[in-house]
This record gives sequence, C-alpha cells and structure tokens, in this order.
Amino acid sequence: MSQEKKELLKVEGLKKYFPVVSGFFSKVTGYVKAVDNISFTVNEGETVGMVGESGCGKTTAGRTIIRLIEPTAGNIYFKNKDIMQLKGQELKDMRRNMQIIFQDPYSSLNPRKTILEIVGEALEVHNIAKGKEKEDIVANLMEKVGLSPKYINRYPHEFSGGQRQRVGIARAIALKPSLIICDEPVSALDVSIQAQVINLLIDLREEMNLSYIFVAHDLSVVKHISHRIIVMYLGKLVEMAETEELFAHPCHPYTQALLSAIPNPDPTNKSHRIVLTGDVPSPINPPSGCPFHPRCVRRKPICSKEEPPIQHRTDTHFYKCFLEPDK
Amino acid sequence: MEEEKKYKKVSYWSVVWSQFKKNKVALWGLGAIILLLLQAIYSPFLSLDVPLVYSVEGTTHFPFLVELFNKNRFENTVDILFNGIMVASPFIVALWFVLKKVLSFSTSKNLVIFIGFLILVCILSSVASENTKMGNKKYKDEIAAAKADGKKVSAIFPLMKWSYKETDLEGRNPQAPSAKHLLGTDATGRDVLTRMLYGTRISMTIGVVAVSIYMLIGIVLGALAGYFGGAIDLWISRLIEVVICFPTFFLILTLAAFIEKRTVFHVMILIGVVSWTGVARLVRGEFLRQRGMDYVQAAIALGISRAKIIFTHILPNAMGPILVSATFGIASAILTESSLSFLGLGDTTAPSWGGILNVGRQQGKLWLILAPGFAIFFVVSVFNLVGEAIRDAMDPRLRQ
Repeated sequence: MSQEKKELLKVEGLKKYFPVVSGFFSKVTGYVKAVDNISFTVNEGETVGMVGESGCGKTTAGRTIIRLIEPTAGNIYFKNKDIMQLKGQELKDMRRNMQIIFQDPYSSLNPRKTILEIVGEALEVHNIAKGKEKEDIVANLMEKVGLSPKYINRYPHEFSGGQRQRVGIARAIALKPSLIICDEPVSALDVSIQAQVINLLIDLREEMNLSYIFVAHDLSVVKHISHRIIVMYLGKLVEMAETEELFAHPCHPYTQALLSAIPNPDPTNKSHRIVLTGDVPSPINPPSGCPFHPRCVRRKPICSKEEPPIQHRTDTHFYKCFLEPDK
Repeated sequence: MEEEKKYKKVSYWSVVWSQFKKNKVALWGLGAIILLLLQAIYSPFLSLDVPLVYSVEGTTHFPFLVELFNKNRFENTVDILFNGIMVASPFIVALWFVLKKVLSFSTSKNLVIFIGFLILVCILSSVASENTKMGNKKYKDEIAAAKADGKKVSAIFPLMKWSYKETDLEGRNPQAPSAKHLLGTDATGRDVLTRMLYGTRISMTIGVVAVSIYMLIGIVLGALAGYFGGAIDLWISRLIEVVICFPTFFLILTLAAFIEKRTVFHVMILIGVVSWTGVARLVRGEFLRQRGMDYVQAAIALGISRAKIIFTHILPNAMGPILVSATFGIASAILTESSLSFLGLGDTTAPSWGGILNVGRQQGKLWLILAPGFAIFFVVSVFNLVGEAIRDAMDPRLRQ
C-alpha cells in the first residue's frame, strides 16, 4: 500500500464515559470509561482493524465515530471537517459518507420491511432515486453483494445469516460512502461464510475505494483484511502498527498474548501460548498505572504506579508499555 | 432467465392476511364482526316504525329516506351517523372498488381517501339531521286510521314495525317473548329485539371510538417516552403512574356523574381519556426494546428522520401487541359502557345493552337479562379471538 494516501478520518482524544447511576435520585457514582482517549487516523482506501477482548470498547469507539453514540470528549475530523458540531441537514449529509455494518444479522434488519425497502429507503431519504429507478439501483446493489435480485421483495426472515449480512452490506454501500465501520461483521457467521463475506468486503473496497474500520476480536480475520491494526485494552489504545509489522514484532505484552492465541495449523511448530489469567478488570475502576498490569506476565513494580509512555518501534508502530522495543 | 428478473410483489398485510386465513376459528370470528357491523348499519331495514313505501288512495309516499335523518325520530347522533353510512353504503362500496381496481393507489393513500369520505358522510348526515323540522309522525296509526276509514291502503314496512323508543301499551309490561315481540318488551313496553339491534350500533361505536382515542394518546406518549428516554421518559412515566393510581372504572363513574346531559359520546371520551395508561406502558416498553436494536441504529446512521424512524420503523414492529391490546380494549370498552348503563350512568336515551340488562335486573325477567348478556359475551369473545389471531399472524417468526 502506498504511504502517500490522503487522510480521510482523524480521531483525536476520543472519550466516551457512561455514567453509573445509583439510588433514588439517580446520583452519578462513577463512570464506565468505555473509550478512553484514543487517537488514530484512517486514510482513503485503507482498512484499519480494531481488536481487543469483549468489553474493551471497540464497538463503542466505532459507533461514536459515526455519532450513533455522542462522545464525552474528543474531536473527529472527516475530510478535514469537524463532524462533532454537525446538526440537522449537515449531519444528514455527513451520514451519506459514513456507514456501519452490524454484528448481528438478525437484529440489524427490520423484520417488517422487504429488502427493497431496507436497502432503498436511504436512497429515497437522500433524494437519490425513487420508484422504478430505486428498484433498479437496489437490484444492482444486490447483485454486487452476491444476492439474486429476484429476492428483492422478500423479508429478512426468509434469508440465512450470511445472506442477511450481505443485505446489511448492500444497505451500507447504497449511499456510496467513503468510510464503513464494520462492527464485527463476521463474528456471528460460520467459518465458510466468514471467508465469503470478508472476500466480498475486500472486493467492494477495491471497487468503490472504500475505507473500513474493521472491528473484531479475531486476529486471523483482521489480519486478512487490514492494512493497519489497532489493539485496544479497557478502552485504551495499547498498540498500533501495520499489519505485517504487528504480526512480526508485537511489542505490547497484551498483543503478544493475543497473537499467541491464534491456532497454528502446523503441528510440528509448537508455539508458546501465553495464557492470560483473570478477567478483564472492571472499566468502572480500572487498575492504576498500566490497565493491563494485573494480568501481564512481564510486569514490573512501576507498572502499577505510573501510566506507561508511548514508545515507537518504527515511525508507524507505537505502543504503550515500559518495555523497550525489541529491535 | 427473464422470469428470474420478475419481482414478486407481496405487501406486508397480504402476508399477514394469508397467515390469518389459516386460523379457521378467527376467520369465523372476523365473519361475525363483519355481520354485526352490517347488522348495525342496516338496522333500520330490520326494525323501524316507518314504512319503506305506503300508498293511500293511489298517492304513494316514500317517507323512509327522509325519516332516517329526522332528529325527532333518532335522538341519538350515533344512529344518525349510522343511517348516513347506510344511505352512502352503495357509494362507499363503489368508491372502494374505484380506488382499488381503477386508480390502484398505494394502500395507505386508499385508506386516507376512504376515511375522508366516511367523515364527509358523517358530517353531511349530521348537518342534514340538524336541519329537519319533522315531527315524530306515527305512520302506523295513520295507516290504521286510513284503513278504518275504508280507504285503499297498502304499505311495505321493514321486517319489524318497532322503533327502539316506541312503547307498546297493549299488554302488561314487561311482556314475555311472543310472535309480536320476539324477545318481549321492557318495563315501559319497548321492543327488546329492536333495542338490541340498535344497541349493536352503540356498542360498536363505543368500542371503536373509545379505543381509537386512548390508542392515539397511549401510542404517542409511549413512543415519545420509549424512544427519547431520559427526562421525557421520566415525566411521562410519572404521569402514567399518577393516572394509573385512580381506579379506572370509579374515575369514569365519578366524572360521568358530573356531566348533566350524558350522551354516548361523553362516555366514549371518558373511557378514552382515562384508559390510555396500559397502552402507553406497553408502547413504551416495546419502544425501549426496539430502540436498542441494530436496525434502528442503522436507520439513524442512514440519516432517516426521527419521526420516520418512530412511526415507520419501530411502530410497525411494536404493532402486534398494540393491536392485540386494542381488540381486547374494544371488548373492555363495550363492557365498561354496559356497566355504566347498568348503573344508570350511561346515556339514558340510547338503547344500550347494559341499559336493557339493568331493566332486566330491576324487573327480574329472564329474557331481559339473557339477550343483552349473551350479546355482550358474544361480542367480547369474538373480538378477543380475532385479536389473538392477528397477533399470531403478524409475528414473522410464527410463519411457515
């Protein structure tokens, strides 16, 4: 991938704290720091993978970026335009450029609407096409995602999970966006279908010059599609690097543990598996210092006291840890 | 290959209907509701003391049509409206045909035009009734008198020659069922069967109008609370809790006692205004559940407006339980009205089933209790049956 690509999305210091309320008067007793101060960029045509355990804030981060959830703080620039302040018509116009694909293909399609209505409604709302024209566009989109257009008037419940996910993809690309947030789009599908959907996403990326933020908890899936990978832990960004770089030289102990968990098909190559003990700590009371230190196999006394610094291994590979990069 | 390109168009409601048809019991129930509705509309043909046609010494009179809009004969506005619908019914059927087959608009557009036409008919008939200066002419006496004078008289009456307020004083009232009065008469000598027939009109209107009123209030408040949450939800929920604290029936009783000249419309509004809490809670719950679903998030991400999301995305999904509760609501509104009339707090001039039942209780006569009692039971169970069937038919997961 060429390095001199235009910057599409820039996220700066994004935070999302959910208040924890208790008692009769709904007093705020604390915050769940679902997304805590993350910054990154996405270039045109680039796919950024976002990985981490369940509950680490990947989904919240994705949804905050397209403003399905209002962030607590931070700036998001899309094509150098601050989208945090947008309202009304401007916000509606912005939505044309950013779309989302959901994890659960069952709840993400309105069971009361046909495929034509589900995929075509956005076209009508944005005054792109109506009536027969809309029908033709939808039929085209269906072909593009590998569905037969003769199913255009069927309801979602008449489809399988993989087909539904294709409908979800058709809906997301209907407005010809430049960025799509893929919120674990293949986690709910079985393995053979996963590969098909991933390949479809790659084909669409090449064809429509799309950028993806690909949220997943499965590193092997992310490896296949992403150019760059962000590793998140407890709402914080812990490591970011190009895909090859990250897989070759994982620096953060958490990333190393994640990578060691990928099954190795070669029986002679017995890799050393780092097994993390304990659960993800509560994001209401995150551990002091480095949030990963209670589970870290290489922790030092300083880890629980101070926040780790950002260290660079290469220009584009950085991570948050006290450990020196192994060059 | 060309055939593959042909799109099969199936509307959502046609799917629901094909599903509904599979439930035979509910189909009979729906048939019964339609029959009841037809009976309500065409009651004047079944029983009225006005002849369709009569001629005295060669002069023919057609008093029927005009008398339908005579306020002195039909004191109740409900009856005037139903008479208007009866007169307009051939046109209504024609309109439906034109809309459906000739113009082939979308179903929602059809429905709007159709309801507009119905409202027009209602307004016209009430205006017509306002302007009549006819007295309460006794055609039967006139014809009998003419016959006694030896004039040549012929007349065609509806099936029964009674009006619901005409008193028959030729026997000791209440009279037991006989050939003259198939279900007997009440304490003042009014024909019970005729009152039952016109009572269908009252019950149907009460059910539909009262439920429409409280559905409207309940859906709007519940949807706002469930969709927006936060402070709006807090205030609406507190309002619901305040209203729900009052026992509905006693609240209606108390309010009804304050109205001096009660009509059935007062009763409808009373039922509508105090019974919306259940629907509001139901809708709120459904909206809370649907709000978090990904398809709503997708709709927001696509830039679809809030109103559109609330009314065209979430509401249809929440409609199943609402519709079921509406049909149950019709049944319970009919019961409430009957109870009010039974306690003498309904519209005293209207021929209501509950009112007949009340007279039966006072007189201790079986025919005065069984007939309206059975009618109430029948209507309530039929609406419940249909409601359940609609719920099953609307659930896409239950479809085969």
